[in-house]
Amino acid sequence: MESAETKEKKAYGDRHIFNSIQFAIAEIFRADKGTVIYSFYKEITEGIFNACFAIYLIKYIYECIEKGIDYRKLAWMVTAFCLIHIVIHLTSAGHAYYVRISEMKIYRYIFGKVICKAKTLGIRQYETPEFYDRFSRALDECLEYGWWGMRFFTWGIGRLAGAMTAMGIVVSVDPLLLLFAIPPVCGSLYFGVLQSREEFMLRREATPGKRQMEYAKRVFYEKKYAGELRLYPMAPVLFRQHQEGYEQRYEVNRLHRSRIVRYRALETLVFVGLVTLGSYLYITYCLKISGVPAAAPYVAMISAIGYVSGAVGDGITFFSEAGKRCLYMDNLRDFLEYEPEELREGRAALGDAGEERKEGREGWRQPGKDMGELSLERVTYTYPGSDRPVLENLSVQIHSGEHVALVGENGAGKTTLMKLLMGLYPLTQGQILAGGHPITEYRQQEYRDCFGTVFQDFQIFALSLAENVLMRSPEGEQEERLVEEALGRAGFGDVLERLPKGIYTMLTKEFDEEGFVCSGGQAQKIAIARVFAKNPAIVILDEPSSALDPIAEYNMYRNMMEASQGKTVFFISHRMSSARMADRILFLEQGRIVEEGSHQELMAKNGRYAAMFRLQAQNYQDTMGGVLYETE
Amino acid sequence: MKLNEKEKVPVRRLLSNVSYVLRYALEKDRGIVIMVISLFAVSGIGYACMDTVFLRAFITFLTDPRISFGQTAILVTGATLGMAVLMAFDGCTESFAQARLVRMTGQIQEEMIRRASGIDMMCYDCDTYFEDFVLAASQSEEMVNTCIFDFARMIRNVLTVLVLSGLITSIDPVVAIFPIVGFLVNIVTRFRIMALEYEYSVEKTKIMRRAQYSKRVFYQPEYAKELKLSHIETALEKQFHEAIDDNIQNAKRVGKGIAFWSLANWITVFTFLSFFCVPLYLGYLALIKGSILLGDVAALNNAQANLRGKFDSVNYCLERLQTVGQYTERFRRFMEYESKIEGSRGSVKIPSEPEKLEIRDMSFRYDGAREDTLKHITMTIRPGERIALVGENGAGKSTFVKLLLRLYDATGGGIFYGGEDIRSFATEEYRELFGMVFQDYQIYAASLLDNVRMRLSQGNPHEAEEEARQALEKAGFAQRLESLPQGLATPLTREFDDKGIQLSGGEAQKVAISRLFARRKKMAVAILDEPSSALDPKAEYLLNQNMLHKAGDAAVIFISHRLSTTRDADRIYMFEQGEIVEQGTHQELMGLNGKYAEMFRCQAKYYQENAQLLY
Repeated sequence: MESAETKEKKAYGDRHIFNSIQFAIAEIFRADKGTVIYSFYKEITEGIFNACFAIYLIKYIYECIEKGIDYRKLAWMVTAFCLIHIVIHLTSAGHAYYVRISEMKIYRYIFGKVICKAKTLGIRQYETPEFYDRFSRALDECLEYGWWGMRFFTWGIGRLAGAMTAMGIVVSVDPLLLLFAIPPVCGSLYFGVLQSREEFMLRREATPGKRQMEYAKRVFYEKKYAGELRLYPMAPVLFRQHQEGYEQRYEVNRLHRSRIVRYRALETLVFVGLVTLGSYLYITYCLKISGVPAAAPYVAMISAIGYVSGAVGDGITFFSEAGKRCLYMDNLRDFLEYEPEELREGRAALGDAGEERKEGREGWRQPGKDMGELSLERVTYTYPGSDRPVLENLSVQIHSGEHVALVGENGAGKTTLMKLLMGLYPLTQGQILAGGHPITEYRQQEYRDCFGTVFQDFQIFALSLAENVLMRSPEGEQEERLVEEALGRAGFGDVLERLPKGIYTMLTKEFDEEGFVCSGGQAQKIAIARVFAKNPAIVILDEPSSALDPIAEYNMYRNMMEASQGKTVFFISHRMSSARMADRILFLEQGRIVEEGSHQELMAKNGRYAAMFRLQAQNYQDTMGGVLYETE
Repeated sequence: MKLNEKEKVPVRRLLSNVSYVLRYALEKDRGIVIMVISLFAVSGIGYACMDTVFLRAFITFLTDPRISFGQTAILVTGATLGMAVLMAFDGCTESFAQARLVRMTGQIQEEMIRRASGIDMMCYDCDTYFEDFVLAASQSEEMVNTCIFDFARMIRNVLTVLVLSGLITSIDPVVAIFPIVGFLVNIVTRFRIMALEYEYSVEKTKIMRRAQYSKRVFYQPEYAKELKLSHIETALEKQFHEAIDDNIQNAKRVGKGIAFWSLANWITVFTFLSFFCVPLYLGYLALIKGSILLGDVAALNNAQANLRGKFDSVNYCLERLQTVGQYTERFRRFMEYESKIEGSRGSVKIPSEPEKLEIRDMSFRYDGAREDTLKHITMTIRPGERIALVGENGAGKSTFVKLLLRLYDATGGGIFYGGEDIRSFATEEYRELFGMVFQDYQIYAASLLDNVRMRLSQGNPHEAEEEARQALEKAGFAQRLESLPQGLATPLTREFDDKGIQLSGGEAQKVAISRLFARRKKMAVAILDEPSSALDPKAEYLLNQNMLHKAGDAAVIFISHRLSTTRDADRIYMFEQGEIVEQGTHQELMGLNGKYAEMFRCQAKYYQENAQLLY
């Protein structure tokens, strides 16, 4: 994880920040040109006008009064300024209206890019924690930050435009006065940088403490922890964690904030206080000693000097805020530019992995209707970062239509083997042939379409039931019937009948208060229905029955087997009972196949499989045989 | 976070809420609160005087030929240096205070989660209560910060307004009319704008939840596999685009209203009243009536602009304090909640030796549910007995266990331990009788040691470690423990530590099971809710052996789908729709040839070595 650490350290370079801002604005520009142009236009005109208003008009009014000029002239000038002011307001209101809408368009544009990229990434990237840390959490926020980064940047530019205008007016009165505007600007530049560096370190160092606090808090408000916390005295451990969290944050805050306080005090006293004093004394000198006739322009310039340093100070703050926010956009850039290791090395699990799906590209093999024989040749797979292969030198051939059970202890490599077969990981060594050809010759989407899988950790989506089964939006009555049929075969029929909206019932309460929340068993049935609806050539069941009760399990297997006549089926189950339905059982141990054959053969062999089977079976056997046979 | 259900809280209650937070803060750290308020007040008055009283004096000094350079210089030096010091203090107060507030808000939050650990389980089922907590917890820091700073700003504004009005009145009271009218217009228009913005954000949150969900699914690892293997992304993308389109419509609708009221506000308050009327009126006084001088014009113009600014700021402060009031409402409601079960002291001492646990005609209904989840359950569990609860998903087994633990109280009938109603025991002591592995056991972002012992490890570390080691061994985790270089100190999950270990399902379950063996007190009852679902056969076998043979005189209650686990039980209870439909030993139930027998045969069939398969 040092990569993220060094990255953060690196991040605090001005050039880097500039790059991030550039990237953020360029992305927004690409998404919607109008937003960027309109924002710059609005902020610059506003900056210039406000400076004229605050300085030039005041100077004019003061002069009129001091010299006793005609009242009508004053009235005309004020009216003219106010009319322009109204125009500025119109621009402003129009801008607010415009960006409220364009914000959505930009959101859509950037999201589009993110999913395009996400589709090209392999499953392995998702499983590395580094990837998750860098992207998943960060991407959630980067869009909003980027948006505000741009807003802050345009505000900063607007303020600078205002400062320039104000300086012009000051020079027109007395160029020497400008000298008093410069030190505060330098002061806020210098201390501004110091201060934001301090703030940056503060934020970074306080993060661990904050995370600890957040975690403790979360544990107490999530229901899933509530039972355990009431039964075990675990709460004090979490209180301690929480306390350590805020004490750590306090220490970090104290350290950095006391530095910030020192910078601020120095800046205000020396660069603002002394310089303001200087400017007042200079004006006094001009009027009392060097004999300048009119006080009005000079008095008006006092606020102008303040205006310049204020605007520059604001500008700097806004730029640094912009930088802070745009840094989050780096996450987006990194994500878009992310290139998985294996692709860089030219290794891919399947044919076009890593490339955006291009239509009409020639040269890929078409998977046949039943895919044919699957053959693993000396397959070795090592998870990245691990020194021990999960699967080692494994060779096996699976005939079309064969039903294969994978059996073995936790961690023996059963799930990994299935993932390799589906082309979810690129192999470390060896190759997999499907229908006689290496699977890297198939196009990834077409190849994967041949599989129907129920994972151990299948997910239910906050979409309609139909979409959850079909895994896309159903079109036409025929597909609706397909969904109903699939649900029926998965044993969900009786629940479906009770749902008023039928297959269009929303699942989960994520968006819909009326949404249907399924129990573990029901969710599993939906996951199984997906396989029925897809009707794939190859079916993979990775512990699909763990949340089902025995009767449901029995029905599920029966349906599954009936539906899978002629299909190739793989299943992984801890209940050895299901393994015996298989034509062939592969017994895995530490990444190798140690026994292989039918249930009868393996029982006769009296090896590992038989031992494991008997271990589970002993409770069902002995006395029960008689009763069982009576009812058969 | 859902902020959309802003409830109406009466003004008086809002005030009382703000003062509640202030008192709370004063109690925690009096010094910082007083410092912030007084420094804000002094510097505010200072700033107001600089632009008005001082400016007027300066102009008078400059234009009056009788006053010398030296005299003016003294005035200028005194004022600017005084000002610089005030500014320096003002600039530093917030930064300094914020550091101190980190600790204060931390302490407040801690009190809050301490309360949370003692609320009744049923609160988690109650949406409003739950939302109170989630919101209050996520906002507590902001609530305290905003309250202190905005209260101080409020005081500053009010004092400044008083000073400025005094000044204006002393020269020409009419000038005060413009900012006051502006203030009123501001209140009305801003109210409309806020109402519209609020409407927009409520609608947007609702709409965008759909978009955000779709987005999230795309990069969360748990969904990755299914995205790769199916076309679900088309449905998700559709949902996303629809949400965006809906919100664009929302933005268009609300945006027009907002533009109108914003223009009305800006043009009247700023352009017309402040920038048009005031200069013309002051010009009239100075040029036509000749009643005021340049110094007065400058001072009055600045004073009215300043006054407008302060009124504006009062508005903002009020808005924010109102939000504080709303957060506080939830915070108070949460803190003032009286729990019924948790923390109950009880009137009867718990027996020291394991006793009989009797469930007499017990029924239970969840709050707001239409029917009972458990109906007339009667059961007796004697020390050392092995009890199995079987039945389909949703039959009420897990709820039954929660009642046994007194996570909920029965709504009819009751539970008796050693002949005493369990409600007469201290809840904490009563629960110490139980050891349980929950179906949805959790792994905490703490060390493995803490995850096994589930309590603060104080005293002799070797003893604690030895105890945890043995517990893990009994749960079948010994081998994995050896492979961990940091041993029991290994941090679990990657929540805080990138070197943290992410346990697999089976491993996590073993850790959860080890908690049973690492308890402080001897168990009277051990409860295993589907303990073996993620275990491979060997681990399951080991667990069963340990539970059956090492539980000693503790009663053991198994809930399992695998009937093989339950058949050795002294008694098996078959649950169906909240009722016990069959009970007895395995033999008795098989003889009964009812539901249980059917279920058992379903499973057993595959294990008969010579049985004919159906397929």
